[in-house]
Amino acid sequence: MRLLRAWAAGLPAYLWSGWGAIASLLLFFAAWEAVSLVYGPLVMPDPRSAFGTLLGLVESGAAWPELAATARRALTGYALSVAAGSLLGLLAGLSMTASMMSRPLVTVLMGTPPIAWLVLAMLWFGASDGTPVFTVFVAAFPVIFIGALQGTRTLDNQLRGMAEAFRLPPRMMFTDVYLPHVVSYLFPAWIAALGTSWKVVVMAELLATQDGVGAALAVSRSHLDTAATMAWIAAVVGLLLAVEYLVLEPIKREVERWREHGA
Amino acid sequence: MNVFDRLAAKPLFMCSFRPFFLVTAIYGVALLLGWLGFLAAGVGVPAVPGGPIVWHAHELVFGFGLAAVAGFVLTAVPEFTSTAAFGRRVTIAMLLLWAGARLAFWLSGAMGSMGEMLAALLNSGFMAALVVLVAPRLWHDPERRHLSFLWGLAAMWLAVTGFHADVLRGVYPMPWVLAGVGMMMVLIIVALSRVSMRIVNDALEAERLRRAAQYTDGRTGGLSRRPDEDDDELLDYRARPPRRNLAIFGVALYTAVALALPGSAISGWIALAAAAAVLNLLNDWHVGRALLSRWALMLYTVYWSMALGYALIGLSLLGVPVAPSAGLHLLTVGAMGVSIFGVLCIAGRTHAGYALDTRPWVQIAAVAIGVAALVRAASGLPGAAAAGLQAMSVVAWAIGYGLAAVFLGAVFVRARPDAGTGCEEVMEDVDAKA
Amino acid sequence: MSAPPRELRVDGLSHAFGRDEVLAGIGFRLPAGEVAALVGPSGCGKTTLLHLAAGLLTVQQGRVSNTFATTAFMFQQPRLLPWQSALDNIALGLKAAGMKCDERHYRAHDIALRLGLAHRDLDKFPHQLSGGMQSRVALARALVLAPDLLLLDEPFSALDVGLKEELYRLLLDHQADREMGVLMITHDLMEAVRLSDAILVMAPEPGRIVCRFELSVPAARRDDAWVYRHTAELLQTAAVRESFGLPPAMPGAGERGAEAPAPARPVSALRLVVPAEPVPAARGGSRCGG
Repeated sequence: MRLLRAWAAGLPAYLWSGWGAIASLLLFFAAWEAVSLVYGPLVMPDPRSAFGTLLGLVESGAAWPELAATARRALTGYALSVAAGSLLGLLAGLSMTASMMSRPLVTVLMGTPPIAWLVLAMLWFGASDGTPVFTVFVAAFPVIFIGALQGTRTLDNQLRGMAEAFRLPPRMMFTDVYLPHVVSYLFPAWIAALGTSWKVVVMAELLATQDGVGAALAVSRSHLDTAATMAWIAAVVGLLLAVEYLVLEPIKREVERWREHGA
Repeated sequence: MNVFDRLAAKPLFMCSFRPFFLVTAIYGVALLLGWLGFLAAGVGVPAVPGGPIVWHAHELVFGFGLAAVAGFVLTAVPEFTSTAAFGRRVTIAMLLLWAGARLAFWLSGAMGSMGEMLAALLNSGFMAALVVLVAPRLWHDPERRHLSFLWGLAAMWLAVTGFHADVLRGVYPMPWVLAGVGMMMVLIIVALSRVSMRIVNDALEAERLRRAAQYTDGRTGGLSRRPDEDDDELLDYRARPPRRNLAIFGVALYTAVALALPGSAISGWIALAAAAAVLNLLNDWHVGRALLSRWALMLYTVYWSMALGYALIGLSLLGVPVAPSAGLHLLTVGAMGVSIFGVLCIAGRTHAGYALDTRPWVQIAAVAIGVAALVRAASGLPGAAAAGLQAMSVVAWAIGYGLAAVFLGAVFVRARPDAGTGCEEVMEDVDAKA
Repeated sequence: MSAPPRELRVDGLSHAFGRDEVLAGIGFRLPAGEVAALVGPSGCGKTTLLHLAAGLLTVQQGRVSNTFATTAFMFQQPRLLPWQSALDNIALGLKAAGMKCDERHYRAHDIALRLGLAHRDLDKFPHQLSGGMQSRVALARALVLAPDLLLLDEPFSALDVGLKEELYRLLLDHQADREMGVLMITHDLMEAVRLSDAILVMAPEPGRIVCRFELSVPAARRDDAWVYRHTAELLQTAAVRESFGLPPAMPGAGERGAEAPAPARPVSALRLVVPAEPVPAARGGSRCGG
């Protein structure tokens, strides 16, 4: 509750600080406009026609089912990897042997390109939702696993000693000492993994499904409709930016207020 | 003692800002009354190359605006760099150069190519002299903290010179005035960052005192509220360079692109980016109640005018039906008009040995100039009664700067009330101390 | 029916990390109301001894008996939880003891103000506080438990002189009010002379107590001159010099060590007590007073 109030109180200042980000996005649009001016609308439609097409898609209602399908797959895979990655990472971090053993495996997971997983997934799951969900899971899992592992491994012995000296019961040991520390590692990992999920799901859909934003991109590509392509890209990126900066980042700032340096 | 020395000995020439700020206010009124005459009856404007609108724009930016810039820079640079003030002779020479430039431009239509040449030399020369006067001091300052002034002034010289070069080439010179407006915005951002450090922190200090007083009252009244129970401590205001630099970058980039590719959608996006960058600058300014104090609020509205101005320009360039001049006039009448008025009031009084003015005319004049900006911008919206609104805007502006000329002029022509002999800030009264 | 006296008693305590013998045959007794300082060079096992006394390490050989009702520990670094406000940090031990939120915040608030923290500091996170403020919070966290025994592990070593002096005073006030037993580690002889009733000098390899001094003047009545004089005197004793690896005192100076103050000087309040418990014959262990 206190957290919620502090979040609400800090919101205006936080939103206002977004003007800097908006300024650099607008400069990016200027560069986009310049590129479309040089290469022509067939190669690169200008931002206004891309946004216009997007607006058309939204108004006609064509955008929502595709976005919903994409979001469903991305979030399912993401939720699975958050659950599995956090839990397994924490457990692996508790044991030196387990963390030594798991590191190379995670490196293998991270090193394998998502497209390779996608091919395997297509063989295993066919054209069902399973393909994008699995690909997202495999891409996001190692990021979260590593975060949880490092969070557990870097627990401060000094604080643990202090907690023992003050006779903290096991439950408080967990809620007051371990959890805040681990969360400070987990949370950035969760955010990074969300970005990965969102990107990977579109790629998986492009090759493996009949609906969703990825499939819509495949259609617009086959029609050589660059304006629609850019519109879908803008929708995907815009949604990610909105979720990250309007939801996750403020939460992260509040949760990690204790970390800020030079108040 | 010859005439020159007798003239130079007058209090008006005690410090560079005095004559320049005085002519700024008077010239500001005169120009707009002339413009009103032109709008109403087609008279009152001399024939200059490019026509009446070029005259209006050139004189307001390069005449009115640069007089204020000269007054500010010639006073502030010695103070910032801890060097000696510019003497009375420099002040008078610069003032004559400025007046000659005005005269030459007014007559340039009548005198033909000779007049154009003379106007070019004097106008470009005035700006060049200003750069040459302040450059060594800014450059030799140990940390070179104020070099941004130098770049801003040099770019302004480029705009003035570009304008007159185009006149001599026979090209329509208006884009250079617009570039001059951009450089003026940069100079305003740079100058206000210095002025605001003082103004906003003074306001914060007053707010702290108010809270402390409230605490004392509360205690005697039996209330248990203590000042340190306030969660939000009042921190000092800092004009932070990163945000300022982003705003300067946005404005400068728009100015350059608008000059190179007039009317393109690229510059439209950049104008929107500049607007966002200026709004981003206001992050530093949101300090709570202290912002509502007279001077802080005045400077704050300058940024808002600037941001809205660039936003309207950007929207207009991206095809939204708004006259491009609406945004432009928020920059000139709003941002430039209000900030110059603020600087006249703040720097003008403190460097003449007076405390800041607390009389109500300041609010009336500031509101009048703000109204002038809004009304002028509104006249560019689709379906507005343009002529009537523009006339109203001119009248409001004339009221604002007329009040400034009267009330501040009285300060500028008078000797200092304290023991100061030049540009010093208010000095402690020696008698009161003893 | 008399309860056993409140005291910390250590008998024949030895400890080894792997093959390294850290402590050998430590024995002392700390009664209620006494401030004892363990002094010795770095690496002589002081911290290990303190951790054994606090129960943070398992006793391998010998016996530690602590009959004080509550014990609090203050570490060398503040060791505050970075994600909790100063107030919550202070109340940590109370929370661990199961105290209700309002009550523990009330007590934490109370002690924080007494230790010179301001209201607005209490909502801050540790990184927003200066080093001195962090130390105050750490001290408050220990004292808020109203301990009968306070264990201090060089908590003031990183602070400036003025701050140290202020925290000494706060600590001594608290100690006198509550008849608290204090066992502190320090390598700063002046700190030991300033605060303690008894000074236990330790020597390294393996860590052992080589002698015990007692100071007869109450800590509250010691002024700077007294502290300087007795610190200098302590530093002249052969045991202290040997423990810290200093060369033997100059001839003459050593003679008027603790045992035989020079007649010209005021009577010393520093009294050497040869340890009651025999120091086991550790390799080359030398005795006090040489």
